[in-house]
Amino acid sequence: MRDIRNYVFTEMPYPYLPPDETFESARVTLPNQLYDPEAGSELYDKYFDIYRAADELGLDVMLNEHHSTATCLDTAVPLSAAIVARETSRARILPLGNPISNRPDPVRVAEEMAMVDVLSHGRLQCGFVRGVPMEVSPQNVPPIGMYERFWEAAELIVKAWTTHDGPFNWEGRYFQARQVNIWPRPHQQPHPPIWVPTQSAGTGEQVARRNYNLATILTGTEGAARIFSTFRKAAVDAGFPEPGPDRVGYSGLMFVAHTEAEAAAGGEALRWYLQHNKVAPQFMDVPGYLEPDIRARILAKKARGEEPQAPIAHLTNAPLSELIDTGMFFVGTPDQVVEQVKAFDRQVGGCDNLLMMMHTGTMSFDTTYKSMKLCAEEVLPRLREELG
Amino acid sequence: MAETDGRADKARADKPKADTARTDTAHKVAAGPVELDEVRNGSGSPLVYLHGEDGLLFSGPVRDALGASFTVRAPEHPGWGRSDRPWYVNTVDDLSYVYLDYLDATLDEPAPLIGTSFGAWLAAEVAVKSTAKISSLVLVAPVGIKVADRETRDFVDVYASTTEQVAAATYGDGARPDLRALAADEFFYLAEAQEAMARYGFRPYLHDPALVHRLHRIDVPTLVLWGADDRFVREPDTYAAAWATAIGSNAEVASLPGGHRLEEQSPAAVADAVTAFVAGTAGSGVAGGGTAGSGAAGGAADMSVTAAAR
Repeated sequence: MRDIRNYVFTEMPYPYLPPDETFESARVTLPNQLYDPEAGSELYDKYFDIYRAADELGLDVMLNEHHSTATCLDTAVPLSAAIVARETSRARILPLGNPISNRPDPVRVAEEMAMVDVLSHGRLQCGFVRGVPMEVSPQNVPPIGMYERFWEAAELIVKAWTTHDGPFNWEGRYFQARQVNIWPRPHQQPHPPIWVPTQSAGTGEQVARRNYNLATILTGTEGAARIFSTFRKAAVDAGFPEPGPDRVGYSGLMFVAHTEAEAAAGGEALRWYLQHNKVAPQFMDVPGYLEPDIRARILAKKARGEEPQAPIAHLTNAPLSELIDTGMFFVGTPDQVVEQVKAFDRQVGGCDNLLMMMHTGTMSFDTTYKSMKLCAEEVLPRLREELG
Repeated sequence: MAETDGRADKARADKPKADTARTDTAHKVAAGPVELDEVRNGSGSPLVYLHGEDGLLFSGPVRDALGASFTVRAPEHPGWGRSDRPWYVNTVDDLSYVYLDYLDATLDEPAPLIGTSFGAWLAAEVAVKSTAKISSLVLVAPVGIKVADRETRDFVDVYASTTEQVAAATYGDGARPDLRALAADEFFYLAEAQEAMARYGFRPYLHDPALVHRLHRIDVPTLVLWGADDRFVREPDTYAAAWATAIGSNAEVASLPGGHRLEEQSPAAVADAVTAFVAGTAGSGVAGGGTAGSGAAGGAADMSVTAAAR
């Protein structure tokens, strides 16, 4: 039987913002005088309650981090993963991921993730992420050579995790480390599974060549099918067995309810995520972040007075049915969601790991909990049965 | 040929080359282990032109104007156009060694070196290491040193500004190029140019913290030339004076009407100022001569000498 899982995700937004038209950007420049620490404490309570409930219901946990933004109050996945590790007892914990192109010291990341793995008794699924362009300014990392740094950091982290006979040294192009000899070492052997999220097939090939696991985020069914297919083929070309459905994950948004009307209301509530992501164009189109042939087309558009749009901008006001049909949203009664996931699974060649945003905006704990409970009790068991 | 960055190689192999504003064909020049593309204009004794942020895209007019008096040799820096960029060339300091090799390889005698904005920063990084092949130096709207306090940038942050804000800071109220007229390969050239600037100028932002402390080593006559309407630099007068003070008695400062892209906006006036300055320093500006250029600005009627270092 296939082990279909759902890693519940909330991006931990700060939802109490003034209207979009009153500020330039929710990311990078929005003054934090708009953040109320009292409200912030209650939000963290809610978000970690959601994760604890997910664990109790038999679901798994996905985390991410961003910086200088109201869209995400998780500023460090090692922190949130450590909290979840202690507050849960069985859920797999997937930080997706550690922004290792931006972190100055990969050995530190290896230590943090080893600690989370041991704290959780071996429940860590370790994500590495390049990071979005909006992170370039807050992290003050050069937007060039990010993938070169990314892969060297990943290789150093894996070596730190798997070296057990005393220190080694590392003098790479991008990172230098001395007397690398981490304590603790990871709980899982030889090391926790590695996940890399991407929206590009080219990166998918790179992930396959290293035999890591691949996740895609909001690419829709079509995009996921293309990227997974490239990933599977590249793995075989690299001499590995073809990756099964357990090696890929897909992040969309999910709401499950007893009635279609309730589900539709929940789906509309999820739309908050698409509608509250205002980014000033200069933080989205950062020179060096994209390949020059892609940027050349952006520059041509800018010359005509068109500023680049957020990648999900076109979805903002799409009808719910379209969001469902394209594999962005999974919304409905348990029967409907089962059918939606099965259709997605069939079209992408199999995907065991759902990484579903089940909370966003001001959605309450109770609303989120009911949806998670239906997912855990009525959707996942049937998927395991029927896709098995 | 040096081992180059794989991705840049691939991109270059796939893409056509932008030839905008080139009035002559490109030549391949070996600068030590690095091969540079070089464009030549005009005739006369050589003058080396180090381009700014946009490469050679918009500097055709000033190079043509300089070509009336000089053979203008304009190499493309590693990262721009088709010049090699070995993987280990990542800073302006790294670039300066490429150019020390370039000057040795291409010049028998010292020649005037002119740079604009980023190219002026690069020219200064070269000159503090050796002026053996530099007879005089013209820095047009240079970036590259840190003057303001730690919480104040000396320049508009292009990574935190809209396209229009960047253009307004760069060109002020003066003429700016019509980007709508660019061809697809020119947009590609510009995209690579901006990527190169992110490599060399992102952090620290458009400066080398050590450079200001090395400028005293420049021992050839140096003209620091400013656009009177430069809005890219926070306090242009203060900034220009800081350059002159750090260089010392070999430096003088002058300004011309125009913005930060002075050479694009006032190409004839810049060429006149450079020609007059070089003529005024002839004889006194032999390599390592170390004497101040005097009366250098004499030829340019609309140029005002605003400050002279001690």
